[in-house]
Amino acid sequence: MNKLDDLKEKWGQQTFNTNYSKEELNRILQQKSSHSIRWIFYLSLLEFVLYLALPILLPNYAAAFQYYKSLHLYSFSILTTLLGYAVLIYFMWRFYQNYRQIKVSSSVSTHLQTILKTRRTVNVYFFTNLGIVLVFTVVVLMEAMKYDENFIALQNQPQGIIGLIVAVVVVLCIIIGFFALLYYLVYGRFLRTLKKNEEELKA
Amino acid sequence: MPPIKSEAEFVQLLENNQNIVHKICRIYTSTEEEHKDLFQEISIQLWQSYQRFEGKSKFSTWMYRVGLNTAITLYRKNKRKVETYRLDERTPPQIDEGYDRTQDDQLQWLFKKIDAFSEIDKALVLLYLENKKYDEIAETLGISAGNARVKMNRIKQRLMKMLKDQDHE
Repeated sequence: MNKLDDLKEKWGQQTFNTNYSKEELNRILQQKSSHSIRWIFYLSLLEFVLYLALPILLPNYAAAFQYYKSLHLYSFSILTTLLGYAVLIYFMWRFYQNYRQIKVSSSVSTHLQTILKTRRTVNVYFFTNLGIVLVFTVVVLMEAMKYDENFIALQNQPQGIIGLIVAVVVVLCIIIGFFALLYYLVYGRFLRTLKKNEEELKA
Repeated sequence: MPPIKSEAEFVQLLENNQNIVHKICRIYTSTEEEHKDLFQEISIQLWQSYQRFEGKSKFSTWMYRVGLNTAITLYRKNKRKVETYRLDERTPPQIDEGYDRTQDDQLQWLFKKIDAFSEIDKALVLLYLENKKYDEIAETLGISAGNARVKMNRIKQRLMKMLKDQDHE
């Protein structure tokens, strides 16, 4: 018998000092699951809910539309808001469909793929929204330079416009950097491990 | 709608087959505490998906699938220990001295060695040592039978090399 067969035999014969009785197993089944997919699910839901709650959370949300009106952007701002909600409904539906497919009794490969697909839906949702916000901000700034008296006054000051552009770029970079770091810290490590496992299975 | 299955029936099945869960826990954890945590998580996952178990595959194959999915994708063991090991690759993984002292020396040696294996390689070692057939391995992992054969040959070679190196240690 070679060493490998010997190892297999010992493996087959191993006993465990933690064998559970029926009563202990019943007690174990009463405990709550603490698995990581659950908090990924809750965090994803939170991201959706935050967008829905935006009108309540931002104090001057309604007043902002009056400002857009003064910039001749009222229709544009309404359309962008509607687009935001259409995107929200579409991605929530897709998220739910994908989440329903996560079954722990699937094969390991399918399980990894469905988890990655579900989380990817939220990532695409988030970056779509970020894109909409960035385009909207740029358009508002361009129009503000034409119609907002404060912005017009600023343009007449020496170095005023350059200072404004630098300030806008810095603020946008901070916003993007903050969310990129948050995503890296919250999901990065977990999803990278899953991706690595998925690739290893295919290889 | 399938009939509701009783908890008593499930507990009986789990009690009879708990060695499968223990073996998965033993491969994926390095302390008694982690073993218990993972055992609990796998048991809960098994119970939650038991209502959907239609008997299309063997109960044991289904158990391996749920157990491995839980160990690989849902359960995260003590991160600090993993990070400490990565800082110094020469330091062997620290196995809890109190973990399964009843285990055979050869198995203790195996567990120390495979602690550094990837999560997928650990699954392959488990399925190899359990003498599973290629089609069952393919079904469990969700890969083709050909790929399962290639992977099992690779893991077998790796284990053989480890055993050979053990002679020279």
